[in-house]
Amino acid sequence: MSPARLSRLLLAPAVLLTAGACFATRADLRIVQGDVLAVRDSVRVSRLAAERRDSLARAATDSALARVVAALATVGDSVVAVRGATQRMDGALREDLHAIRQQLITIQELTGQSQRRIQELRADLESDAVDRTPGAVVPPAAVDTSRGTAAGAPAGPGPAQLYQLGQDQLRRGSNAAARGAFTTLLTQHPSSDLGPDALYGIAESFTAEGNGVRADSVYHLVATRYPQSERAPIALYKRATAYRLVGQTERAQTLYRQIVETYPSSESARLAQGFLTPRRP
Amino acid sequence: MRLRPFLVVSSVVLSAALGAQEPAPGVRIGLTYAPGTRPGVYILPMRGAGADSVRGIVARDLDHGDRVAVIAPEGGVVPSGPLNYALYQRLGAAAVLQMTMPGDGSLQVALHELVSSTVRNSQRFVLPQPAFGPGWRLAVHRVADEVERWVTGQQGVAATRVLFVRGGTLWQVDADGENAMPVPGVGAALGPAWHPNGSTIAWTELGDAGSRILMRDLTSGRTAVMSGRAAANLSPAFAPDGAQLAYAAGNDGTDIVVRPLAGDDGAYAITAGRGSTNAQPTFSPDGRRVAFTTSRLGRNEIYISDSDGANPELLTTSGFGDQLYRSDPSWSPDGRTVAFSTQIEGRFQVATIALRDRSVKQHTSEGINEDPSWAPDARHLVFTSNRGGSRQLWVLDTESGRMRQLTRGSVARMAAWGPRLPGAR
Repeated sequence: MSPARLSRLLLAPAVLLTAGACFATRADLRIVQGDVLAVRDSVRVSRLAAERRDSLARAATDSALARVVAALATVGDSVVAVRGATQRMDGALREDLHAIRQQLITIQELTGQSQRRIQELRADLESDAVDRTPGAVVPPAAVDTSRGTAAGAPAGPGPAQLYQLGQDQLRRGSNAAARGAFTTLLTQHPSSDLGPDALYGIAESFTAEGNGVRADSVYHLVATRYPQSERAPIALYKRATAYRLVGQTERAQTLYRQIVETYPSSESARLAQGFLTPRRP
Repeated sequence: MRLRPFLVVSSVVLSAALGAQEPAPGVRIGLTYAPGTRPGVYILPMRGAGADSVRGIVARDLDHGDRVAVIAPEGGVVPSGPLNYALYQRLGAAAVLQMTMPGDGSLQVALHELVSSTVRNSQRFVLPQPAFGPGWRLAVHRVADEVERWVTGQQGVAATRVLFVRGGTLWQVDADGENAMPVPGVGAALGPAWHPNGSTIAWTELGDAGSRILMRDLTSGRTAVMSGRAAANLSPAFAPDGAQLAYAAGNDGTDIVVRPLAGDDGAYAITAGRGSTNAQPTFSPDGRRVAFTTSRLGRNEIYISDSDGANPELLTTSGFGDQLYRSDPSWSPDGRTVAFSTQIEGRFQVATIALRDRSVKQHTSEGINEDPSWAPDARHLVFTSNRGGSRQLWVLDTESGRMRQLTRGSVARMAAWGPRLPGAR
């Protein structure tokens, strides 16, 4: 038998078998397709149900979150309001403190100005008292003894007059005359409250003459004899400045430190501080 | 401005009179000055190249000095032979100024005192060439200053210059208003100051990062930065001995700091401002005191303190509720007064305060007037005023109240009157 004939004999039964199988599978496929559709419907239903549940849960969660956020916002607003109020209060306090400090400075400055005026008035009063007094002796009642003028003191200008005189001479450049007035004040009115100023004036007169050594010794006297007076830190500052200018830095530093430690609230201390810290611009 | 007190005389008649050395009958004389208040100085006509300019400059300088009454009629004949002193006395003169130009570039000057009928002073001055240049003009100004000293005992201030700010930069002008010119190579500038040597200046330079103090030698052109790292550095002022420079420096408020110009010492503060503004220092002539503007009272006032910062005290007195504003202090070269700007009815005016009794004298009232600066004679002030329509520099004679406009053109302000220039007596 030839190969072609053999192939034809085998092909016929194969075709028959294949066709039969196809007829059986098509029916089965329809069944399967029905099952698949059913499953798909079932899945869709399940998914819809799940989505509905998720939606409900999400809505619930969102609602809860919204409530939390609202609560937090309320708290935040409260915090902001409290902070604002605190800041306003802080600002107001700062302004008040600044204003108070400013007023204190103003009062201090004007007090200083008034003191100078009062000084002049005292000198005028003393002058009037002397002028009104007949004879050579000033009656005790005519002089304010609380200012240090002893009752029965020798006739002549009072401490304020002498101080004014000394200041005028200093301004004029008559340093020896100024010293004379200040010295008279110190000897005739030793307990006068103008003592520190008079002694300081003597030191100033030496400074004006360029006599640094004597000026330094008198400034030293001011600080030691009247340590509680306003002139004391200034006298120390003058000494320190003099030492600094002649290159005696160590001695100057010691005095600057003494001013800062002993008279921390004085103007001289604030100036002295600048020489104890690294140099400013 | 007041008219110059020149004698109004017919030059023809006067020429004939002086030529004959006898007063001609019928001459009408009209003097506009007050005899007795200022000595009259008759300036004789002169001949030579530039003679008219020399005579004109000297006459104007003496007039600006406000201490003598200038009698300088136009024209006239240059007298020859002895002067007829009696004639000049009858014309109201106390002295006669005779200037001649020998032709060698010099100027021979003689001052005749009429009371004693003698030549009281005589001196030859060298006038540098070229004629009419700034150096030549300065030399003629020195002649005028010396003549003023011969007559009054007080040297004039014609040989000085004024620094000022125009168009945001530095300018300088001669004291008679001539030779206004910018200082070369200066950028945005404020608050100029003169060194006592007259050849060094300092000023505030404004930059993006703040301001700084610069100092320049005008002769060499060398410029140095004098301030430190603070953001604000303002209002420089030299100490009278020229050894220190004071200025305001700071970041939050300013303090006045002093920087020695020699040595290794750094700058140190002489105010403890506690956040307030302390600025515009000005030294007393002896260098021992400083006046400055401060806001430590909540408003600007003038304080004075020792130059080391000790003993600060309020100079310009005021009471509670007084809202005046004072600034721009300038200590007079004679040490007696401090000039300053003060706000009166909302406008700044120039005033002075006497240091002896603290009495205040207001010198201006027309327009806005501020930034006074003393001339070396402690008599004249230069200040900024808008009385002419725009802000310009004006000169005030504090004795008589007489004023003259110093600058013209675009706005000029913040003047600093310099010392007598090098070479001047």
